Amino acid sequence: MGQFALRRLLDAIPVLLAVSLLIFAGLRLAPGDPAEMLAGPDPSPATIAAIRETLGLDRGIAVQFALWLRAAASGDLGLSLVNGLPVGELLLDRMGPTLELALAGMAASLALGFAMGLAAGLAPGSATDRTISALASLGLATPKFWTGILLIIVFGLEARLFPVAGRADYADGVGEALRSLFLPAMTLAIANGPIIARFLRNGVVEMSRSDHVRTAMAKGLPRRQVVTGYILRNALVPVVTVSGLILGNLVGGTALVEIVFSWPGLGSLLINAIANRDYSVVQGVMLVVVAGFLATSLLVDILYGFLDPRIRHGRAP
Amino acid sequence: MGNWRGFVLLCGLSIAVATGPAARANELIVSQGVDPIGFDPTRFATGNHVFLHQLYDTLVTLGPDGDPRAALAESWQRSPDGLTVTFRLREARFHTGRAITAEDVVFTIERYQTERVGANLLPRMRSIRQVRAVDPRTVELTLGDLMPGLFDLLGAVFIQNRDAIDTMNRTAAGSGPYVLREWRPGVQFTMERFAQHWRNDQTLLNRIVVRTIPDESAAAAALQTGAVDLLLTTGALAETQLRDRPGIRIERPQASPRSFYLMINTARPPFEKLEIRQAISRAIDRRRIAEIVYRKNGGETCQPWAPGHWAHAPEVERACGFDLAEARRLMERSGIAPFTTTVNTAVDAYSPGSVETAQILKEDLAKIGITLDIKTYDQARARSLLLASDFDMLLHVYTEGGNDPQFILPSGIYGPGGRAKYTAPAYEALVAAAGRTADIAARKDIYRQISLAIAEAAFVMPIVHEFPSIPMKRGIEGFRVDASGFPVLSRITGAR
Repeated sequence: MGQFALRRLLDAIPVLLAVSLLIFAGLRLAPGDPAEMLAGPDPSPATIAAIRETLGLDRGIAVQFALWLRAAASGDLGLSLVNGLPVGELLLDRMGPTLELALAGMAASLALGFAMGLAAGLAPGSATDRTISALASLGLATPKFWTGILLIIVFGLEARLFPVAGRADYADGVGEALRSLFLPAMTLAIANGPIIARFLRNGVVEMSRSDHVRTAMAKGLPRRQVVTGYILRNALVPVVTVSGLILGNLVGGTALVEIVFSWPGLGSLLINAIANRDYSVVQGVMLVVVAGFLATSLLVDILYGFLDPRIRHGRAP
Repeated sequence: MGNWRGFVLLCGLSIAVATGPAARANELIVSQGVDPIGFDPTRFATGNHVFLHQLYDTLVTLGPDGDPRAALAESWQRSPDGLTVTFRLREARFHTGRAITAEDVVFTIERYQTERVGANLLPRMRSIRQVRAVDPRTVELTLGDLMPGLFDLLGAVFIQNRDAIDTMNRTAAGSGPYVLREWRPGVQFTMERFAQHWRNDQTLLNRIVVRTIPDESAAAAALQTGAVDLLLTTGALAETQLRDRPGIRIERPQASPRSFYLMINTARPPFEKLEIRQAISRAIDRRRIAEIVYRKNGGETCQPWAPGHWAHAPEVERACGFDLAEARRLMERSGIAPFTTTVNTAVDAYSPGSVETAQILKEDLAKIGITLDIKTYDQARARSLLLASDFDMLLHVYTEGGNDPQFILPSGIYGPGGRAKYTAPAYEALVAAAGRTADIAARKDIYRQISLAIAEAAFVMPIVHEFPSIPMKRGIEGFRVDASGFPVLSRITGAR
């Protein structure tokens, strides 16, 4: 397992390099100029040129990339072109809230998905199964920003149970911090829980019909033991796959939820940076997002090994 | 009995002392849709407006009548030829504790004139030929021309501590009534009273917290739940949500409008033809745009300045009103067959309401044989196209409509040879004349002629002047903005 993980980590380096190059080139080839964005409402060409020189954008793309790569290799992701703050610092500031929301959203999605998927899978074709299916479809079809706004109106504005915007610091009180996390996490759960529910439901139904489960039931094992030990464990493999994808997406792809709830995460940082053509910040965020995806993928692969001994011992399932 | 009376008197005095002549409000929490891009006051990004007058001082401020009032400069004198202005500084300190000197003013003005700083005011600052410190409290400006709008300009020049420039983006470098205490990028920043400020006795709030809430519905909800006291940025959705809500009132300061306009590239055929441009101007139903797109928050217009501005001339509004019959006659006279053209619009963050306005324009222009294709761009792309004059027609906005007319006359919008590529000797002469006199009556007449010339030439067509809504908790009073639209928060009462 250790060798496997090390090999995967080494494989990640060329992936990160290739992605960095693609993003670097793509940003500079895209229309829009950060120097123009910073130059005031009525700039002369000389002003724009002076700003470009200050930002180092007057050099060739290859030179800019080489300089960036050399600095990035030593942990320096440069300065924001817009506000001059170190990109590393901006990323660190946003990483905590992003991981907090991603993990909370994942936990809530898993809880919701498990409850729905298991209930539906153990009673296929029943009214419960059909109701859960319909609710899952509704959750999948509803845009996240709409769900978020609805939760704000119902639970924030009308019921006054939760704050409607912003993230409370844990230093200001754990209770307040958790309250501010609740609505955005539920928004993500309503969007992603149904995905997990569907995979789990199908897996449970399939496993329930398998020979080894029928044998276990025939041998008189308690239902709970059959469900947890025989059905669920085998049904979890595809669920782990899709959960890994969801988690990877949550790390960098919750911009809409972040904007609706004023959550200071990487997603909203990325959106603003793209709008302002803040190349340094976009580059830094994408590096983190891709690294997050790769790390999640590795985690998923390791989890497979624990779930399925055949994978762990190198035999085909 | 005497003791009892004395006790009551003592209690009364204690209460009076505790409350003072006016009870000092403590904290104000405001929300805005975007984060500041650092605390450099040379940048007028939307997220920066809120801190400018709070963290920094200017040499002068402008009163409601447009006349300059003493701020860091306690007095000034102008030479007989008007080209030298000498300012006497009052005793004041930066937040670091160091006294403000004439060298800091020199440094600031030269910084605003530095290309690589990219200050918003750079083009207008070029008219200041030289600035020098005569002594530690006296600054002398030598002007290249009369600069009739000098004091308006200086009201937007925020004096910076030359020793704190390196960290200014993060910690500010000012002398204003508030000090920056904390900044959590993307979340909020906090300003606290600067007790050594030269006008501290007039500062009513002790603390101002500015929260970043990008979604306008969420911001409106935050106001309704009391999480914030005032919204600095708001849109149609939030305004609808908050209108007639108990405990909320919506103010509309008349100082600084947003002025929406249509610009035509006269270098692209067939727009070099005056009749075509005039036909377009007559075909635009400005009132419908004002009602539908800008929700009657402003009025339709033909001229660069809103009613209430001293340069506004009521008779100009008759020069370009909606007249479909006249528009069709002008199209016929032009000899140009029906044609297709494009109008550039942009996302609301850059050009609010431009997409909706373009859709109304499309209907209006179809009636005179012009087919309009609407192209919508993101902020960066829209800006590139604007600066390169790469457009047929363009819908955009400016916010200098409350400033001195010299802010926008020699500019890319209305200036001869600007983004619309329009010029004419008579127009050039008028613009030049506007910069050569400081006499207000003469200036009024010149700007009236300029407004008529703009309406006649129709290379830029002002459409609506809108005064943005500022929703706030009922009970909050004293909110105001300066001519540039920058909020002044220190005199607010009724906060928490």
